[in-house]
Amino acid sequence: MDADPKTGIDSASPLEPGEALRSVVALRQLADRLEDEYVVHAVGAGWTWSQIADALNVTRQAVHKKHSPRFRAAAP
Amino acid sequence: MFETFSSDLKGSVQRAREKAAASGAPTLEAEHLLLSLSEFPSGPAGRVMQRLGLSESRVQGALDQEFEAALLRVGVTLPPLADLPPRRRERTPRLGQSAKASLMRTQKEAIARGERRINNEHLLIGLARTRAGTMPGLLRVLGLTPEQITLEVVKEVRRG
Repeated sequence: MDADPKTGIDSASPLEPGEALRSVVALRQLADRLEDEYVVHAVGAGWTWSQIADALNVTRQAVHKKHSPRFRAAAP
Repeated sequence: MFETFSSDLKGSVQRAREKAAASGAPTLEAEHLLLSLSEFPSGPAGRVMQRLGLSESRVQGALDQEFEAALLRVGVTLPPLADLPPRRRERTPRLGQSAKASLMRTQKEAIARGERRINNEHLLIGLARTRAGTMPGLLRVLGLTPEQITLEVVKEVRRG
């Protein structure tokens, strides 16, 4: 292995740029899906929007705008 | 760009937009355009999709595999995910970068073939030749090459 000790990138077998960049996008998509799932868990566990926002490092308005429609839709 | 699109092609773009919205995607991407063609619209593009076995469920399955492979390449195993309903978005999805790239290729294909009307068959070739986004990895999962798809479309168009 010829991994660069600083970056951890293995220069002997680098990913092809198109594949590497696609992986970056896939990670973002995965993060979004995990955020959806874990926000639902947090609300279920009684967390407030403010607490969730602090934990996600965003404003309360941002997290409310993004996630509250799901709960409105689920409400009877 | 849209004035030379046939009504069939406009219909495909519209169905792709609906698919993107239904899946909660923020933007309409190339894969939504391919999913739209996987409903086998009438004409050469639909017939080629059918002959290659590219039904909606097959394309969707391949998309899931492509996503998993993209994560695995960087050492991430897809964790089990709850089957949540997709995010509801206020606006209909706008055209994303990979869809724009595909439509540019689609237009080039039609122009290169000296055709004024841009149709679904040009879209299928345009998608196959798109290097951005999920398309290259998706074709790999499906065991297809851009050249192979182009050839199939050309044969089908000649057959009429």
